[in-house]
Amino acid sequence: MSNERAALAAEIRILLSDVLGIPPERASAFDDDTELFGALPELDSMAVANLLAELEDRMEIIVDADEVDGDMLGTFGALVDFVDRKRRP
Amino acid sequence: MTLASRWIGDIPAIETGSDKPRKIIVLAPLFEEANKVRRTLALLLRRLAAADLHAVMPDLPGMGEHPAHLETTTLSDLRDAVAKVAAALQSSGTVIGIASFRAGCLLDDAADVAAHWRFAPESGDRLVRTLMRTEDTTQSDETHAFVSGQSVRRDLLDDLSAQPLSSPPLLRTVRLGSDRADADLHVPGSPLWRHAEPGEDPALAQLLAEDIVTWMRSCAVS
Repeated sequence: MSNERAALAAEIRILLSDVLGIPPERASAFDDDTELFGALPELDSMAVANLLAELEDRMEIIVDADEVDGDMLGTFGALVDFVDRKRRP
Repeated sequence: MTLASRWIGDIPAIETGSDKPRKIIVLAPLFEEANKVRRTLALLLRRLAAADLHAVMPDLPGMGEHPAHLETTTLSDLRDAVAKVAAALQSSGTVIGIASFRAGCLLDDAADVAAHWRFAPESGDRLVRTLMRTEDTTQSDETHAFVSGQSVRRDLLDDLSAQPLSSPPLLRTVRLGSDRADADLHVPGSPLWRHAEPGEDPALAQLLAEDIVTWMRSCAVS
């Protein structure tokens, strides 16, 4: 994993901890295979909306409605990859 | 300093320091975000009163304790309420400024007040985009969208989306450190308004109250 991607993953762990109200220790254990949508009870539709809004604020990206699906939020790794792609010029 | 509820005209509000001649209006975020930060804003009101200010936070139509239902509320209703609160307070003292949070900042120019302070201002289009992500289309109809668990007039959403953040001459903007947008000051803290459950951040309330007081004082002497 590149240093850049590792730094991004660390930022997204903090963001998930903030938005989902889960302890930072729990979020810090998230790895690429950790399942999110459907596996985390905290991640309901309101939380998804807040998560996307906060990603937009912190990462300076815009997430379109048609980009949001079960795959993009399926695992922690998929979410990091999505943000990583969006941030590239 | 204790918090009290009172009516300002037909608008319910909570306040502290009502015996102080210098008054400040605090505008909460709109919709569900208001519930998430209410306790922290209550702490902030107490801190403002401790700095010798009469601090007033109105519940705008469709929000909090206001008797009007959100499903009938328009943007004019919200802006008129802000103007009314400011006018009522001006009649019994001096309103030295208005401190607004998140989408509350979209309404702060409705009050005839010189000094504006904003925390994490949210543009109308971003607010509405986030709300629409929560839409339950099975409960929406032509005139109302069911968003964030509530029925909201579509014309309120359209009007909010088109409402710009004003640029008053005396304006200070504060944001969280995690927010990359421009600000006069970035402060540490977590975005309480995005949390799943309402929380409380006494350190943030203290820091923001101090910044508001310092800024309002500098505006008063300039």
